[in-house]
Amino acid sequence: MPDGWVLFAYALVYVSILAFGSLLARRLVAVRKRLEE
Amino acid sequence: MTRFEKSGLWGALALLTAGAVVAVWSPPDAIQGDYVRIMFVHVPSAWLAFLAFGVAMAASITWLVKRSPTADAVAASSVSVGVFFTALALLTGMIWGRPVWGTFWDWGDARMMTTAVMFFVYLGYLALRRAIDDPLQRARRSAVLGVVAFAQVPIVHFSVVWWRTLHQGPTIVRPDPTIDGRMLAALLVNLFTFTVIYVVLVLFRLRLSSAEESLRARMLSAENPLAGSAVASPDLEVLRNA
Repeated sequence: MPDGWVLFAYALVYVSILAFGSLLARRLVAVRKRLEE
Repeated sequence: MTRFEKSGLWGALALLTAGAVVAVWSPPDAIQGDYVRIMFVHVPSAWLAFLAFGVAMAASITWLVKRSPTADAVAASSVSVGVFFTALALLTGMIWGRPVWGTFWDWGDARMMTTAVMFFVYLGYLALRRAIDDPLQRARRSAVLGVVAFAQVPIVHFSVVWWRTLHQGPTIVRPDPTIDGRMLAALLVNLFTFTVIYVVLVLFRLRLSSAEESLRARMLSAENPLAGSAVASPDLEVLRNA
């Protein structure tokens, strides 16, 4: 099992990518909703 | 979200999982031990920074030649994703450096410093775009910066060859690569995974820009009913034909 420091690095990268992706997706959905109104 | 967008998100998630599995499957390094696994996210992040800024440069040249609004949007989207991955490359490099080099950061290291300068220059690119309201001015100035700033990419890449400082030289792109086959496989799988994620993120960013532009145009036309479409969506054909 990898060292905790390595897990921390992976957690940082994966959470950042997921956060960035979900931020873009949520903003896209919100702007489209405003366009439909 | 459209079915295409949902597929992109789920595909990216599946690939991320595959990348993590391959990173665990790869053996520990004889000297670095498990810390070598950080390279499977650090190297792809750095590669994506280069790719993103390369795409931004190509899109900037396209804008300067054709005055295409799409090229401007591609450049802006690619830089925003590139800055994100440059930050990840810097952070993962620091996390790896602490146990292996004994330090998070070395102010005298050529690779670290050139990468940090590149990060801040492209942050400046994003700030420049936010600072200019006129779409044509914004596109022109950021296109010039998008081309000029790319000069840093070869400097960052060759910094480990030109200056002998803390960061090690090339591991794979050299005449006699010595990397273990399973480590190379893990690295290649993650390079592919991160490249797909870059494409997905840029596509989302592009669609978001397009939707925001439509919203802005609608709000402007609502605020300026007399000016109408002339204010809402400037005719770029005029400039293109000039």
